[in-house]
Amino acid sequence: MAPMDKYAKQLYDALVNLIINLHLQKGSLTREEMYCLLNVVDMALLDKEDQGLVQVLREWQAGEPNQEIDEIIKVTLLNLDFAKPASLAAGVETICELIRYNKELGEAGTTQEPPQSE
Amino acid sequence: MAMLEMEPQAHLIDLESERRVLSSMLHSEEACIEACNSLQPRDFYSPQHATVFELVRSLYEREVRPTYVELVKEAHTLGMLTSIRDAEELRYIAEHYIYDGNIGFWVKKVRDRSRLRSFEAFIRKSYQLLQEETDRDVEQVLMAAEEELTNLTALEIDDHVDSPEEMARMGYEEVERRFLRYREIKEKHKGVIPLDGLPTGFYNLDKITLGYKPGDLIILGAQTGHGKTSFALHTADAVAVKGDHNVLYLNTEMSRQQIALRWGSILSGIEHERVRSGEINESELSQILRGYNDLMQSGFYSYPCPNLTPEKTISIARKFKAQKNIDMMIVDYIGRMDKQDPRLQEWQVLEQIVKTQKMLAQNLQIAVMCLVQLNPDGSLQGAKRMKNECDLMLKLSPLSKDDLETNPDLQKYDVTPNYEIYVDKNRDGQSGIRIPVYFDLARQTMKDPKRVSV
Repeated sequence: MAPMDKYAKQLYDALVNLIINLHLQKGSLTREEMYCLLNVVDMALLDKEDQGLVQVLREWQAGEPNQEIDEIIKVTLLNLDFAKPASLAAGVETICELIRYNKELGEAGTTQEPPQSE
Repeated sequence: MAMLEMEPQAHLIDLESERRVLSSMLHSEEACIEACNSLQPRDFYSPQHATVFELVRSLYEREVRPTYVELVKEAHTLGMLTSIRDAEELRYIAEHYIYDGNIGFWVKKVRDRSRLRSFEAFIRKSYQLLQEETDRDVEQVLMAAEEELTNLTALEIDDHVDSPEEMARMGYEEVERRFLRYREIKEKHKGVIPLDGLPTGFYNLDKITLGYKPGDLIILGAQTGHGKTSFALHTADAVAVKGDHNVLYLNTEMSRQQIALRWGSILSGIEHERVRSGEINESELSQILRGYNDLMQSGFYSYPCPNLTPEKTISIARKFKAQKNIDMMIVDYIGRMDKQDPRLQEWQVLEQIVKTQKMLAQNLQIAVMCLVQLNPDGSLQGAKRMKNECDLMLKLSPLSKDDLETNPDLQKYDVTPNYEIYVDKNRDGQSGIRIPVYFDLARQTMKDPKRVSV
């Protein structure tokens, strides 16, 4: 674990607390959504091995919204086993594919069926 | 009994220090190692803090990095984080930030308060005893109190004084064990010696030392380029690959790739230069793969660490003892450890390092092997002090041309020995012995040459 300064610790803790509150207090996150976001926080802020997931999530956020594809990405994320590198790598590949497909759609300006993820 | 159940005095409770220790454990691995090693759940006054400590420690022992996120997930899974109030309490603990380097200070505060609370409870109990029981044997009462008080002052569990009976019993049992083993060697094993400790990788060295034992500090000295790393990896091979034990190998000068490549030639018996350049055929590639498969199943853990300090070796060793239950640590080599205090002379630094490693070996009950560099004349800086601290001091050096020509004994082996291990000190047995070995420089392997009748 790389040493964290006080600011980094505060930022990390604030994010974790926010996610817990959204589940426990506001009920706006399910248990699975809370676990998924907590895992992403650990990967993004503590340099945990992520198989490129954080970078892919950044690309997803920077892209055009597409309700259907976004929903598939969310389901993919919720089904990831963050403790297993193979599961993470497979998830990253699926999300990459979906992002690429969405980008192509945007460039073509057409609506197509999203690719079937395995 | 009412007095016994009283709360400790307020100044003996330091909840803030407890929170600071826990917060630091969630944000720094070093802090986690220090706290896990120095504290017990009972040292925390708050039951909630004790529970958090136990959760963090259990994550750490299961090799899960004990971050705030992991703690939250663990507590939630166990049904200990179900309300916003639980979350608030965890948040309050987490935000007690400290500079992680100060963890020792806060750990000491928690432990000191815990010990004082135990002392207070002892005084209360003794006072109660005086009030309630008047006809007990005074000698007995005072002796029991003294024993309890002595236990309170002893920081470590190994602070134990052996009575004459215990010492005599222990001595007899040890001699009897050795007697039975000797008989077994003669009758069943036909002279092959079962070891007391870990295999050294050399038959004659096994015979002299009976293996590297828990708590042993072994020092191996060799000049630059005279096979220190090869000896270390030969030891690791004997203990972790061919043997069934876990070894932590700390290397201060080689990269991960270099260490991994070395194993390729050691385990396959193919020349290192050819492995390095890739000049091998397909059958040799399969041979190397088989070797790496053995490594994969072994208990060899490598930690390349160019800026190693004595303090760092302590925390790394503690971590691997807790998580991998290592039996041995090899430090390759201590001359490259960073100086913590630049005012110290080289020999003072080495002495300090060696003392730390001996303490580490005893506290963790593992064998620690330190590799040191000999001067060009074969001497060792701070040798006397190092010799005092260690249990076994070995020196590895090439045999001179003169030795090979003038010593006919060296011709009585299947391969002519080109190196020797000199046993300079052996706390448990004979010293001053020279053991001829064969060092295959091309393959970076070492072996015992076998005696043949001429």
